[in-house]
Amino acid sequence: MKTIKYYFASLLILLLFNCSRDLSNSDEFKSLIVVEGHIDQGEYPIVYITRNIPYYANIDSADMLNLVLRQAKVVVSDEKQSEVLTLEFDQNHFPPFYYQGTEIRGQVGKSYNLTIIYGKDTLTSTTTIPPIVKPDTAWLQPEKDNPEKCKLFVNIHDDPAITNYYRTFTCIAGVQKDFYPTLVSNFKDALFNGEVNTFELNRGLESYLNLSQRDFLFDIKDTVLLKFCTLDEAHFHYWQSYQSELVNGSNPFASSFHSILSNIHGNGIGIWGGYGVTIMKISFK
Amino acid sequence: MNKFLKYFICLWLIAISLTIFNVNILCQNIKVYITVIDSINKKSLSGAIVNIAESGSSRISDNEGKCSIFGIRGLNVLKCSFVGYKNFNIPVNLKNDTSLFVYLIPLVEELKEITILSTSAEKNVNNVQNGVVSLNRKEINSLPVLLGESDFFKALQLLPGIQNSGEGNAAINVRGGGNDQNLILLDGAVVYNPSHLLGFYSIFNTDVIKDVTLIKSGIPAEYGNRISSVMDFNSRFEIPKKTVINGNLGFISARIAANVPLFHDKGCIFFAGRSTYINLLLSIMKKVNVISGNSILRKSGYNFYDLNGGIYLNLNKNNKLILSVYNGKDDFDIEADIISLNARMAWSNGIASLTWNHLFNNHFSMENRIVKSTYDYKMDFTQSQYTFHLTSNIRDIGLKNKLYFYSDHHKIKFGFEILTHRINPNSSLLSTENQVLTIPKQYQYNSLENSIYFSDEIKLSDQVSIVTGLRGNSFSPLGPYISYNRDSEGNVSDSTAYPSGKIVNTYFGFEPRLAFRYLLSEKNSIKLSYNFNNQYIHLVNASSVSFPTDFWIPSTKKIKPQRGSQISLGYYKNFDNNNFQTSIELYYKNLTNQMEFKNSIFHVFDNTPFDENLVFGKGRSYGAELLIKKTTGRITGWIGYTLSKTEKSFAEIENKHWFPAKYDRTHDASCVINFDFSNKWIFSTVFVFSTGSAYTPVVGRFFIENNIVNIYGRYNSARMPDYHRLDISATYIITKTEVKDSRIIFSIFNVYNRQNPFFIYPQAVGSIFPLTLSVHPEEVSIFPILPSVSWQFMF
Repeated sequence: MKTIKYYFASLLILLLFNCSRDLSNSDEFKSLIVVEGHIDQGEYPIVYITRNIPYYANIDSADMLNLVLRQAKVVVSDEKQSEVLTLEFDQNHFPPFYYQGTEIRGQVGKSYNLTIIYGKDTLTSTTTIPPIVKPDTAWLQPEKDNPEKCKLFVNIHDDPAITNYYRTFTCIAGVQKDFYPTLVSNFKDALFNGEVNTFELNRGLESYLNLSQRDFLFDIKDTVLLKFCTLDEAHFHYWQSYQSELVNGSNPFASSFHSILSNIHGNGIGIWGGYGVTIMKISFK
Repeated sequence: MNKFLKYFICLWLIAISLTIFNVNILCQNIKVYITVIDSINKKSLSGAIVNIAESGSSRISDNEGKCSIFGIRGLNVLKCSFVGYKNFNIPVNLKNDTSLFVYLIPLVEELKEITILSTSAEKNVNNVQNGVVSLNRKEINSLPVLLGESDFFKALQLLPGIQNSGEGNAAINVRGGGNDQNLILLDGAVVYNPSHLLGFYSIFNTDVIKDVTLIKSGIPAEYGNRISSVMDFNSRFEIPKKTVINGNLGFISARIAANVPLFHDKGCIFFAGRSTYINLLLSIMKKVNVISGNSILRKSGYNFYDLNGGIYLNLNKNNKLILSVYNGKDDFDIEADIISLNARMAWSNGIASLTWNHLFNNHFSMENRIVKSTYDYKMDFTQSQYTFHLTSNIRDIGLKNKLYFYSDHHKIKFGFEILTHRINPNSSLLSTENQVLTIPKQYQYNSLENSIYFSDEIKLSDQVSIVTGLRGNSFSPLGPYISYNRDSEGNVSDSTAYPSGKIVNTYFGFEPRLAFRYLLSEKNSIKLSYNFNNQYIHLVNASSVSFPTDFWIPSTKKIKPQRGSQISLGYYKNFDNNNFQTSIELYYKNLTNQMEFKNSIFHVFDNTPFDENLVFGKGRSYGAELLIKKTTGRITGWIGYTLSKTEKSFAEIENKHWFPAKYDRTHDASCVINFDFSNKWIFSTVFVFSTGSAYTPVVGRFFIENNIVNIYGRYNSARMPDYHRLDISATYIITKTEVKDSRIIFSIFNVYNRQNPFFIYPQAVGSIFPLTLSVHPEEVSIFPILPSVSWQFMF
């Protein structure tokens, strides 16, 4: 029986260790400069710069505006020239402040360098604008059950010799003030490489927040502007990881544990990407 | 490895030589071959103690009720005892080697007192294997129930070394092994998804299952293709004197079983069914407006059922035929209008096994089994115009042969297994009204698994016994199969097509097994075991909780077999005339070719085969387990505690640094107490505690394109709150006789209403325009305090 006592004493000691440690590492947070920049074929570069915030931070509207970096030096260059972008304001976008160029316009096949200097931090990135793939046709097709609503269909002929990466945006003329990515906006041609393919696009959403209040369809009277873009591989992978995070990030049925990719070097995260752009105007006839 | 094998084979040969020498010395005596049998149901009794005082020889009957014992020429007194049976005591006059059948008469009145294993009191000390746990239905039925249903899986989780996967999860992790690394067998056929009701129950109906044996270490050579543990469930094949009906009427489900004798006690046939009536309860709740119009339950439903059946035939004294079948299904649908979501999940298991047992003589028997296992999973997920449809299915068909040779100092098992696997891991369809995209292409994997094995339990002396074993296996993926080669951009540059049935490649496995026991005295022993196993079928975790969205995938040209080795050391000691049984076990487990899914299940626009969406690494687990068990008296029960660490290392995750596995539990403790208050009342209570599951925290967020994007911290670096829970139950026995039983069980699950989190996810609220946005961690718990009443009957 004496031995039993030792056993129970040992058990008690072991149970006393049963104070669980809180391993939540909010101190893992690292402050980063967040870059969202693009240069479209035929357009000036646009760069939005903000800061990330700790997950558990309580913020209000004013705090959110303070996340926007307005004193950065933003330089875009190609092989021949370089320009410093200037700060602009757009209240319809978050962040409302952005940097835009006035000299360099995107050209297919060229590479563009981005340099951001903010305090002691210097961020760099490079992107290219791949060749344009122009859709053959695009049309609006009324819903059978609801003829007042339409879906957008696009027909493209893909070149089997090269790997193409695509991203799609829509804008409803007179209703929306910008192009917004479609529901699943990012795809590559591996699904239909070398074939003529018809696929369906949703109405671009301003945000994925509150999906239930959004309309995925177009009105029959809408004039839809389709922005059909090609992008390079690094640019594609960024949006692929972004797309996956939006779908899976708050979904307990799916796994999500990877922070999204980035092509920004330095103390930053985000994307600097070039688009080969085709814009089409579509209305129901 | 080669060096180790040389030592292993040498040790094995030495052991056999010693034993043969030993046999020659002892064969001067007269040998008596004993088979111990229950006089009522004619079943063999394992663990009975047989002795002959004249020769001083004592043995314990094996799994088939057999043992051999030495007597002296002339008159001997043969004694046989077994817990729950009248002692057998008879004089025998021995002239030559002879065989005897010993029929033990059950002590019916005493049976109800037995709540702990009805095996030999010293079996825990004497058994050569360590890390082996058995539970029978008597023990299961004495534990508090969840919503009126007792459950084998929940009971196993109360033992040291066996961790649950968190709230509302039937998955079991054994000594840091993954959920897929447990070989779950029902009458010899593999069960791929043992969960019901999203994991709250298992598919094992307690009216059907006789017992389960869980092997945590030193896995015998007859088991293969899993690297962590074996859970061997056996159906009850007991020939009743007359038709026996038993069942249970619970809070959300009911079950009923019938066992009918056949051919004048030469066999029996049984049926069992179990079903939930959640949908009925929900419809009543809707009618009386208990569920509000906005509630997600308004248009949701859940249904599950089980059907078991079996035939047992004693063809003659040397041949038995056993057929066991199972079919079960879960069907869950949820409609959430508020987010335009309609989801439906359904999964089903099908099991069939046909067993022929043949007894050549008292020393030599054979078991042949034809087994079939199927598993189907479907999910439809519709949101607005899009429908996402996912299917996964498995079909195994195989033949298992086992030969069993028994002598005084050897228990030899050898045999072979041939299994074919057809696995469709995950076929996805994304569709709108006008278009269907199959993403990825529907890949179906066929494969062939062959195994041979040999094991021998050798008694070297009264103190020392060893079990040696070798298992050799091969696994061949078969065509049709296309092997892709890709360029630096990930595009297909070349491919090789394998026609149907052609072997793509073959993996060979060579698995040594060893167990050693040294009896320090009758009451304490030291045991050591080692096993090395290969695993060719893998479960890919696609969700952060163990939902059926996880899918199985076989080894392919790109997916190498998982490999695991474990060494375990245990000290066992019984006190107070075996009333207290205690043990301490230490283990170290090494795992290679572990996998993680680098994509997500909803990563729909990626058409690469699934074996290219996996990352590979290694794992390790080590720990100590303590068990103190009280086996007799009015108060019985046990306290179990495990201190452990389970880690993984992947090049693609945390750059090869070790990180905790999702199911790593630093501390895991349980306490089970049964109190036989009177002939009418039995009380029991269970308390469990475990360190919370590891998960990857969100440490920051940022805004891109008007959306919130999470930044994740170190992989699995955060912990959910600790899991703890207290359950109590009281059983009122209305009637209890040999042929009739009626009792009401009052049970409270989660007595102090602990909100153990099921999962934690970041919930964003607000909008970008205007700027009113907040994100907070949302904890979802499932089980509040749940009282229930159920009626259990048998007549």
